[in-house]
This record gives sequence, C-alpha cells and structure tokens, in this order.
Amino acid sequence: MNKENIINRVISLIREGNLTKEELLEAYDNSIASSKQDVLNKQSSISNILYYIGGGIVFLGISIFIGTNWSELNNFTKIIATLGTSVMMYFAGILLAQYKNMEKVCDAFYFISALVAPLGIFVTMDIAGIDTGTAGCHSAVAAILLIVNVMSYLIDKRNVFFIFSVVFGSWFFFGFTTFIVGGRPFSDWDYVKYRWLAAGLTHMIMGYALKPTDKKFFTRYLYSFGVIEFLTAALCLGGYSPNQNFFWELTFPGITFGVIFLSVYLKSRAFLIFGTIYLMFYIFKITGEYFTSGFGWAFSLIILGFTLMGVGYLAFYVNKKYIS
Amino acid sequence: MNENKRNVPLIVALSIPVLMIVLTVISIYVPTLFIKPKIDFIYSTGANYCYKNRYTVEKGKIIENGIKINEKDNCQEPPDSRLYYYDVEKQISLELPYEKAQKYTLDTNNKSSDGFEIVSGSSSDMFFYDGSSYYKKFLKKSAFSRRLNMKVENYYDYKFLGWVKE
Repeated sequence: MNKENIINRVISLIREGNLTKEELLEAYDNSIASSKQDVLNKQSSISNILYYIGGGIVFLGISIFIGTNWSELNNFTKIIATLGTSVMMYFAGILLAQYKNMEKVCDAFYFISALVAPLGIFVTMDIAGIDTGTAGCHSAVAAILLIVNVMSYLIDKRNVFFIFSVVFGSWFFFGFTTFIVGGRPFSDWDYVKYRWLAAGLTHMIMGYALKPTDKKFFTRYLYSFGVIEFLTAALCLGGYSPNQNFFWELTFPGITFGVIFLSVYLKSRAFLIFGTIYLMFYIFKITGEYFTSGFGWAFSLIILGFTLMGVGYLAFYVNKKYIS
Repeated sequence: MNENKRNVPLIVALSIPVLMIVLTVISIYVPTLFIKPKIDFIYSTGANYCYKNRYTVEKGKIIENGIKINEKDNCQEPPDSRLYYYDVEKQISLELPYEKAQKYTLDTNNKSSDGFEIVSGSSSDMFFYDGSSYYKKFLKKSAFSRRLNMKVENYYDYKFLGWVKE
C-alpha cells in the first residue's frame, strides 16, 4: 500500500462520513506521542545503564583506594572510607527518593551502598580484631546485609533491594551451612554439590514465583543462574570413573531432558539452551569415561559428533515450535 | 485465596535452603544422641617438620625416644614434646607425665574396638578455604562426628599413639 492509496482511502472515508476531522487529528497526535515515548524509554534505559556502570566504577575506586593505601591509612579513615561511604550512599538514596525525577539516581546510590557495604563491614571487623576469613564471620556479614536489604525492600519495593536480597541470601546460605559443618569431614556425601543443587533449585523456583508479578523481569536471570547451578551440581555428583556415582550418572540424562521439557512449559530459552549444553557435556563425559579404551577413541568421537548434531537439532526444533 | 496460591512457589523456594540447614543440623547432632564413644586414647604433641617424634608405641607400651637432628634435612629443634590423655566422655585432654603413661596398654589400630577413628577436618569448601580446619581433629564413626578438644597447634604437631585398653 503506498502513500497515495492511503490518502485516497482516507478521502473516501471522509466523503462517506465514516471518518471525522477530530478522529483524524487524534490518530495523528497519538502516533507522535507513542514514538516520543519510545525515544524517552530508550534514553531512560541508557541512563539507567550509565548510572549502574558509574556506581560500579565508584565501588572499584573505593576498593582500589583502600587496597593501595591500606598501610598508610589509620583505622578511622579506613572505616569512614568504606562503611561510612556505604551508609552515606544509603542515606543519599533516601533523601533523593523524595524527588520524583530522581528515582533512578536513587537506585544508583543504593547500588553503590550495597556493593561497598560488605567491604565496610569486613574492614570494621578486621580492625576490631575479628578473623574475617571464617565461615562464621561471613555468615554474620551476609545476615546483616540480608536483613538490611529485606527491610529496605519491604519499605520501598525497589529492584535493587530485591537483587541484593537474593545475592546476600545466597551468600548467607553457603556461609551458614559451612559454619554449621565446622570443618567436619563429610566424606560420606558430597555436601558442597548438594548445596549447589539446593541453591539452583531455589533460584529456579523463585524465578517461577516472580513470573506473574511486577518483578517478572528477574525471572529469566533466576532461571539462567538456577539451571546452571543445578545442572553443574548434578553433573559433578556423577563423579568420574573409577569413583563415579551410578545413581547420578544414570539419572542425569533424565534430568537434562526434564529441563528441556520444562523449557516448553515455562517458555524459557535459558532452560532449553543450558539443558542442551549440559546434555552435550554429559555425552562428552560418558564417552571419555567408558568408550575410549573399548571402541577406540576415534570411533567414539564419530558417534559423539553425530549425537551432538542430533541434540543441537532437537534444541532448534523445540525452540522454533514451542518457544518462539 | 488467589494471593495465597501465588505465594506458594515463593514459599517453596525459600523453604528449600531452610530445609537443607535443618537437615544439616539434624545429620550432625542427632547421631550424637545415639552413638556414644567409650574408649579413650593417648596422643603426643611436639614434632617438627621432619616428623621426628619423641614418643612411639612398641608392643602396646609407650617408649620415649631421643630426638635425632639430621643436619642434611635442615630441621629446627622440635618444641617440647608432651603426652595427653583424651577422655572421650568428658571431652577433655589431660596432660600425662611419661611415668604415668607407661602404665597404659595401647591398641595402635587406627580404629578403636567400638569402631571410632580420629580424622582431620576438611579444609576446603567451595567458597571458604579454611586451612586451619585440617588440623582440627574429629572423632568419627559413620554419620557421627565430634570435634576433639585437643592441644594441637598445627597439622604436624599431633601424633596419635593408641586407644587405651581396659
């Protein structure tokens, strides 16, 4: 349809009385407004990215300042430069939140505060003579930051508080479980891998829980991190010959196919991509474990290559038919 | 009702780490209610990097040896060696003079007659490397493990001598 045809069509609609001057002008005004809004949205997201990059660079600057001048600075300066900065940034965010046009800048200040806070608490604990390398200390720091971020999120439902609640919550889980174990020789079960399994499952289910909410933006990231954690742990639990774990080695293909199936149900590309990749890893692993001496390495590589092609095609087909 | 249904996945997600923590606590502390170690043991401290220990066990009895420094090994003089009697029920280490230690007959097997053994702690975790965990000693039997209150300062400072026979 070219422009002349469109104009002729509009003229005929006007002559038939099916289109008024007001309707025509309203349509014109609306199209201008939505394209302006698109430009504004794009400018806003670029600004957000720059705010967060700027925040990250501020954090980097503070860390480098502390790191390179550690021996020259006195204790008070160290605490002010780290913990003091974090607290100051947090309060700056609170003050700026009063102004509607400073909403996104607040997020940047809260972001810097959350990044610098662990450094500030560790520096303060170190100066107080507490050993900061232990799991107990890490648990305490993570717990403090988790509580602060959760309380902040409950008061002001910002995405930055949500992100750091998940991050500090995960850190607390790993730290606290290490603290409870206390160096015990858990040789009968792969405790580290089971924790990753639990963390991966938690992140995936959390992503699913957020899908019907206004935080659905985080779903794909939680799915991605969760499925990587879960599948990595499950693959590692299988072990390697001669110390393999038959249960996990035999169930892993079922797990990956389950993940690929779930990608259809959840409409998640992350599940499809990582399910496929880990299935390929598994095929590589099994070939390397059991088929290099019997069939010969060259022959098993041929079979492996064709299998990988099949898996790749399956992923492409599922994506095209059910997800895209 | 809809709001509750929407919260179910979030509750499930947050329950998983809580459940893992609870299971960990249960797996550590519940076995201690049912499994009770009974056999005490004797150990010595004071060894240097070259493992030249002063006390050894021959035919179930503790023997005091002289310290020989081999100049080729470039070893330093070892710290003062001491003997300790570990009471597994009271969970305390008592310093034992050599004269009293000679009264005991020891079983030098790594595992006691009731199935316990002394193992070193696990030093590595995915996030927290704690090298000091390796010289923490634990009394272990299947799912049971309990930290021992021993006078050990580093991983080569300790030598297990034997389980005390009745």
